Amino acid sequence: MIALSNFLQARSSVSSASNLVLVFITLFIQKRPKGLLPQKGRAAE
Amino acid sequence: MISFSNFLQARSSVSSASNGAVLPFVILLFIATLSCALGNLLFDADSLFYVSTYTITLLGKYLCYALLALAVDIIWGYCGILSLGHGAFFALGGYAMGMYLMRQIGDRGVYGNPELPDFMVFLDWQQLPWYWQGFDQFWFAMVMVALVPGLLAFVFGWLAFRSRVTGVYLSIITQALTYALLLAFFRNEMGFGGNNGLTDFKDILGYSLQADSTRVALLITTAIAVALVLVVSQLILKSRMGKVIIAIRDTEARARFLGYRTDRYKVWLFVYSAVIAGIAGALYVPQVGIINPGEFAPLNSIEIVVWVAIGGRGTLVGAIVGALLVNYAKTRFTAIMPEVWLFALGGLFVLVTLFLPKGLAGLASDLKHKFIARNTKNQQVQN
Repeated sequence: MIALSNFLQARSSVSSASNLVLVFITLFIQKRPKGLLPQKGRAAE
Repeated sequence: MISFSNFLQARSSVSSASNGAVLPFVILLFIATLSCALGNLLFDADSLFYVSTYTITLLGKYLCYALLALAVDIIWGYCGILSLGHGAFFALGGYAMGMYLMRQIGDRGVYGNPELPDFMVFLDWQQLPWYWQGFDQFWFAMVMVALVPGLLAFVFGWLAFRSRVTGVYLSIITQALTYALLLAFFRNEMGFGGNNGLTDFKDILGYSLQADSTRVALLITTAIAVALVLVVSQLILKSRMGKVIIAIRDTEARARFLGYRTDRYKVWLFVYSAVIAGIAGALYVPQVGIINPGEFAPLNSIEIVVWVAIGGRGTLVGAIVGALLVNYAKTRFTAIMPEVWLFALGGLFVLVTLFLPKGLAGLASDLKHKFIARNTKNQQVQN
């Protein structure tokens, strides 16, 4: 995350970089609502 | 299964207690508001019945918070959606109102520019940005107060609920939403006054914001808004739609398997809640006289959830009582021992969660049931 943030800071201002990271997190959770490696099987909801 | 049905019974007993409380509460609210209004306008400052303008504004502020707590309770208490970003909708509504109030200043600003607000003159902007157009009209600003939070909630909720983001994940992204907006509104380039926000308001609809009568009118408007939202929300939650919403809260998967499009119910309830939060923000700004990006702070949104938890989630009147009590305590505490307040709030939250899982409303209904049980027992003994 920090690396991504640093990369983005190089291209724009600090606050809009952290903003982009937050937007990225939001979109990521929309895409994978249970995270990268979701629980599978009966234990899953 | 037994524990589950007990659980349902416990819940329904709480909500039945709150259903009966709406009408008495609305009456009480109006009596209190009117007596404060008359106390401020009719009596002299040295009279016993005089209510200071400071108190009027403080009450108006509390009622705005109560409205905000209602908004959170509707989605959290009745639909199980824990939003940790409701402060964002509140602030957006507040900014829409703030932009109208900013345009009302006209050429009375420090720089005397009839068209541009002070901070734009300071930033050396030559003309009003496109998104500031129309905000000199009150009706347009009022439409935006509802439309901007509503639209954001619709897009956000539609994406989130359609891809079945639930529980903690939803809380995290709502938190991210409000934090992202906080950072965005801090930027001067956004055109909302940067970290100073919008302030130095003069009048609303031509009436001076400093006048006692305007303060009283704002308090009464806020009280009417709280009463209206309370009654309308109760109608919605008691309707067929409300039953589906409560079913979604209790077991969403079952409601979905029964054939309900649970995501649609959630989106519309989320939009309704966001619009209420926006209205609360719009009523808040003229009374406190400032709106700045601090209102987007994640901590604010968490505090709203604490009010609702303490008052009793899943009961509309409980949420209002929680917001009023906690904020009154905050005013008193921060005046006496400012450094202790956050510990007190945190401790209160822990205690309520441990000992009063249904909040103060739950406590009230428990006491009522105990009282009834004891009475019937006494009668049996007498017979």
